[in-house]
Amino acid sequence: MTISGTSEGSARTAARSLVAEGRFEEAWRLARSSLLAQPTPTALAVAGNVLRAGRKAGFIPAGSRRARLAILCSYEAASLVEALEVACAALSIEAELHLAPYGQLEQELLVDHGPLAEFAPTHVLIAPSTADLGLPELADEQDAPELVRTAAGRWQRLWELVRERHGATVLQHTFVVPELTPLGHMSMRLAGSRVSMIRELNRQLGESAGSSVLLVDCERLAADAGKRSWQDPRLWFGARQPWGGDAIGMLALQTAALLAADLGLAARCLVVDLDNTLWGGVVGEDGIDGIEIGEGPAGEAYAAFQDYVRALGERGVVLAVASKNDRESAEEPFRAHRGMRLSLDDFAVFLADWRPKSEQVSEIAATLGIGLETIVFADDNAAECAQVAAALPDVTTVRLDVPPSERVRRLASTVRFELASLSREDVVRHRSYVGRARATQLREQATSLEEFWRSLQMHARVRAVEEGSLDRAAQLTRKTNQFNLTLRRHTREEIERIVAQPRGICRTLELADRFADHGIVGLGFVVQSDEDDATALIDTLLLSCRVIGRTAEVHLLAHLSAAAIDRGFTRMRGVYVQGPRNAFVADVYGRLGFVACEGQTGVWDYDLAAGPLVSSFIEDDR
Amino acid sequence: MIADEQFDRTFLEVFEDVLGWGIQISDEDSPQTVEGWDSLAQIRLVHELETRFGVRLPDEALLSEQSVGALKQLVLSHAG
Repeated sequence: MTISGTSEGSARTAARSLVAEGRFEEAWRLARSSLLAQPTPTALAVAGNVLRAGRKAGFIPAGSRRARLAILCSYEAASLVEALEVACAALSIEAELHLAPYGQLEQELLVDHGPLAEFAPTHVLIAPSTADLGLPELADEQDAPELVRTAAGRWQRLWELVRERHGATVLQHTFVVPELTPLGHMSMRLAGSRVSMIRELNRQLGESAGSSVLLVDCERLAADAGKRSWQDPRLWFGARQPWGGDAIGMLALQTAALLAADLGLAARCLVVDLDNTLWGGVVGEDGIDGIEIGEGPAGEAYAAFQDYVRALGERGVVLAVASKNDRESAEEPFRAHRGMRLSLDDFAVFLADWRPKSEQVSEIAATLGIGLETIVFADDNAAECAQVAAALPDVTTVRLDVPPSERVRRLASTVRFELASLSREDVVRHRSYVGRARATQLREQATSLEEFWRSLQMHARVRAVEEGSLDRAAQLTRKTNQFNLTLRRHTREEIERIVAQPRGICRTLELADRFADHGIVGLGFVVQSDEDDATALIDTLLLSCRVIGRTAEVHLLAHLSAAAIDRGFTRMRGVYVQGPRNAFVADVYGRLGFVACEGQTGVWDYDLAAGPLVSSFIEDDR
Repeated sequence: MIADEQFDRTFLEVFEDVLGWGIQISDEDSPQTVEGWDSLAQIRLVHELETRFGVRLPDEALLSEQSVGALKQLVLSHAG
């Protein structure tokens, strides 16, 4: 059995000794960044204790905006309110909170000159739980729309009351869809099921919220955390609190983040590092062929991270680079690496030099004319994050010191980029966005396969295996199990030996279509047959599953056969070796004009005197 | 699991996190003798104890008003 909480434990210890020395500002900084990184109960408790101890000594954390937040709750919300107090402080909101007695939603809003009016809220949080809806497990299909409309109507009416009677902005928690249903999978097919009605209710609330209601998407939060930990039936039955102990901090922080966004406190700029942040490796040392981006497990993870960063940019977050690099090497991947998703144009400021990162970040803020508190700095190097955090405490730092595959989650966990509204102008209609929509359209429109292939406007680059593609080639032979004719696994060294053979042919295929660049997704090796020197034997022919069904194999074979003719072969021999998952390529050679060898199953010959194979749907890039 | 020094330290940490740093508690203390140890604090104590010690306490633990010593025994008896 383990006793958990080591890193939080050290944050607690450090914060406590700072508090003991009366250094509240530093203790708060520490507690705050730990809470913003992950709002666990411990992080919440540490921050709460720093605030309580500080308050006694007259320390109040600096807030940039004031808010008066009233909480109208249908359940016991004391825990939530305490957490909200801490979360608001962590997001630089000087908030005064008022909790109405629970279950008194309409009453509180309707009474004249009551405690709520006296409190004069700027914001009102309406926090119900799914239990309030009282929807049946299964309603008549005809009754469902009316039930949902009535349910939505209650909250919409409350929104009106908040606006009309108190002139305040509404924050509303939406409803968690129950994960348990006696109807099982059938529940999603029935408009009258509780699950369907609550989904529809959330949709209607989203649609009708308009600009004066801020919705907290509790269904998404619960799904992210896992509904089993988000809700604790024990607490519901025993204390009328629906949320589990781990959920409170997250719910409070996310709610406060939306409030912060409404107060204009959201971050506007993301500053990223380059080496080991946007790609794997160090471009200045490993060279452009040595970095990982676009291909392979790590390369794909970095590409996914770039996609996420780019999507933030398209959504209106200003992107900038702060890198310790020579400018030239820093820019090279953007100019010359095909795996890159971000381009130099995506960045408003691009700093690559050898100054401390804090100086780079300061210069970015000055160049853009924005405050340091609107900047989020993300770096894989914990030391760089610490340097920036120490020198510029107003900057939010995100430590990407997790495996590449976890990077998007880590970046997404910051609540600093929440939006209170999204104007049309905020969103750059990026070409890829439009492009994706068109791809779907195309597939629907094309009536024959040939038409579909043509419409993809595929381009390929077939190149000899070289230093930069050896690792990817070896990886493809190891990992490809479906479109793989011989299932031969080759090490890097074995491939080097085939490359070195005078008549050996080793080719990679990169494929791009009008929507996406898939990178190296095909491989073909041809060697001289042991039996006779006029026969070129196909040692390896494989395609990554992403590009199966697009005639890429024909294109690869066209190149291999042409190269074989150049080397003086008169016959090309293909072999199919059966494996657990490659049965569907058993007759590939037969379909492409190879002739089955008599008496040998799975062996096919192609007469090179007929000329190379012809690829009709893929063009070669020069 | 045994009630060693590490166990007692973690136990005290949980109480301090929930009820305030620097709080003094002994095994005889209970909600009647400790300021701030109300039903809300009890919920948090149970959750933190469960998280830190990796145990699941019975539903009744949420509402009972037992002493610190009794809670320790409860955690120990539910640990694997």
